Amino acid sequence: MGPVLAKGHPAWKRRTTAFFVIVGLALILVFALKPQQTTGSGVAVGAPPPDFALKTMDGKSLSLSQLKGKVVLVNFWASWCPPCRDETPNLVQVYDRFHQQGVEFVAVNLQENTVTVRAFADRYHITYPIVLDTYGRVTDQFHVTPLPTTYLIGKDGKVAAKLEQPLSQGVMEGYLTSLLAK
Amino acid sequence: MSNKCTACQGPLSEVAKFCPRCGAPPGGKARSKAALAQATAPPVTAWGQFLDDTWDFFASVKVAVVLIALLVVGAAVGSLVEQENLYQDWRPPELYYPMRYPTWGLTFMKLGLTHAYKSAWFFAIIFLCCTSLIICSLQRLIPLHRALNHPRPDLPAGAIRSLPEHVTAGAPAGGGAAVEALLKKKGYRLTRGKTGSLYGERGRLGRYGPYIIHIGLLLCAAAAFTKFIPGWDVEQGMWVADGETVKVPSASFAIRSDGFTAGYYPDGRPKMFQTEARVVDNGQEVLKHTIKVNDPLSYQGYEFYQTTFKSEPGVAKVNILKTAPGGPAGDQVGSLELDLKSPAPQYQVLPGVHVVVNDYFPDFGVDPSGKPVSKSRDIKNPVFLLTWQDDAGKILGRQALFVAKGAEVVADGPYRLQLTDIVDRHYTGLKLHKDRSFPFMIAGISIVFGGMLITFFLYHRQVWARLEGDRLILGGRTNKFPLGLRSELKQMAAKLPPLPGEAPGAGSVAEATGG
Repeated sequence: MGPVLAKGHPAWKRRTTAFFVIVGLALILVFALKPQQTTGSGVAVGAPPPDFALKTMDGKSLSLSQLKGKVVLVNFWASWCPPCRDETPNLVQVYDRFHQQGVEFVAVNLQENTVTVRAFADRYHITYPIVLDTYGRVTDQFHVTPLPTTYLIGKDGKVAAKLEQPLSQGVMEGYLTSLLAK
Repeated sequence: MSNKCTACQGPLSEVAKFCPRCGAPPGGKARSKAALAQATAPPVTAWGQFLDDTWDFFASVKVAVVLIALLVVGAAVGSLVEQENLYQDWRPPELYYPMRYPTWGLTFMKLGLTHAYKSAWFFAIIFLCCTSLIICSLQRLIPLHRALNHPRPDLPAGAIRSLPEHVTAGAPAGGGAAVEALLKKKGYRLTRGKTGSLYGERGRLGRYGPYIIHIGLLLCAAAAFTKFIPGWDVEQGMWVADGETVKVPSASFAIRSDGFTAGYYPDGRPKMFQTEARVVDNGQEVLKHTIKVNDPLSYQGYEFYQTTFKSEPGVAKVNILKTAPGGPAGDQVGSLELDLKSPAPQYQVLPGVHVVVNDYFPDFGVDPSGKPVSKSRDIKNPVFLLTWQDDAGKILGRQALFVAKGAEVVADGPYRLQLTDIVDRHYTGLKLHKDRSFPFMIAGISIVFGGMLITFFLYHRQVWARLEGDRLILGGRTNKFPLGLRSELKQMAAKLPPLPGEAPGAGSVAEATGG
């Protein structure tokens, strides 16, 4: 005897339909869980930032992944940008206070030459590492439009904030304290 | 006490809801096996009902047409609204779109119309289209495939006569073998029926053509989706100065420019832009190509297009002068070239004497507090702050070098640098493009094209032949171009003896008819 006919469609049709239903639901889930972007462009807050490896002033390579598990402040700057010059003393002071507590700073310089950057670092007594984005690719990856732009990355390795203005010491301290507490 | 089935008189237990022999319910009539199975199958669950309804929905051609229309509308919107990666403006989208589309800018962004081809709704439409395509295909392909794989070689004479195309001719002298030879010559695959009829088939693949096209379309859709995989679709601009070697982002090789050339017509219109480009892989020059507009360099799946160029002051040529203390500029004792993009931290100028570059301002200015600053990153007004030192590190003198012709020399000490010339540096602007989905897209399009050829030019023809006394009945059907089958049948009939009682050569094909 042949197989008992079930009511409705044969099993292969149901299996195929079930496959599409499950794939469809999975896609909806992926879209729903994907971190929402705060603005139309830029690295999404709540998502891990793109990793990069750039040369520091003394020629060593520094990558974001090396700093995993720490609170990281990534500052995009250039010596020719007046608000960056205003912000630099704040960065220097806050770094002095927070580096001991495990906060790392990475200052990404936009396409400037070593001499200019070194002279700038000397003039402002910068002690945090400066990396050179010689071709501007990391700046592109991070969708940096105004200078300075600062990203704050939490211990979980995800972007906690993107700040598109020069930061006061108070603002920086507020963010860093809350990120360290998490 | 035992019951009996009212329909077949077979034994029936008291609790039975139907007769096991004929399927009749107690007191009812006998039922077919299928009807019995339907009646006795377990009820459809809600999930099963949902799956069945979903299948029926996507199996509908009307739904498919609506989905395709939606896809067309979505694609059209994507080409009407300026897309985020295409507009020529420095502003980020959230500033640009309100300006570009005054009232609707932000709404367009929220709806994803400004990145239509990467939006969730476009993704959803394509997914639904693919689902519809697959389910519509299976709905029709599976029964078709079953039918094609179970042909009926046995057809009675009457059935052959009622086929859309048929002819009757005299039986050939060779009998069945001669008929077989005749059909084989025409390329038919033959199956002998059990009751003496002969079945031939040709071009069965033609029936699968539409489904081959569908497979190609699905491959194209899959290739389109690979753009979401990071690194599969890379597009980036890069500047390469003459003589410079620049590593290609996300690749292991570098591009060197041996010179950019711009040519103009006498009236100033641009004639040609080109770059003498070299690919440097592992320190070895592996490829030479002159990149012109519309003639890119291709290497390892990357393509490099000529897009633009720029020039800026590149090198300052200076003379080294030795000066008596307090006196005017003295004798030239050497010369030096200072790079204006990235100067060295120090230059050895004379034996025992070097000059340290303390600071460099490509676009010199003074900020409100009176400090020297660079106003921009452009090399517009370059100034070097220099210190002359001997090998022991003793400071011999200082100089602010203004790289502008006729600028005043601001220096003390026994040495100074004097500008003689500024040499421009030329950059070629290249756009690199890598699309790994390309081969898949080509494969998809090829399959679609192959499927079309099969669909349009491969006719599925089925013929049946049966000898009936001194007559041969030959009939057939085709999925396309019935006139072709008719003339083929006529040709075959012409090679057969005439019908009994008819003169040879005079209309021997007596009953050639078309359906």
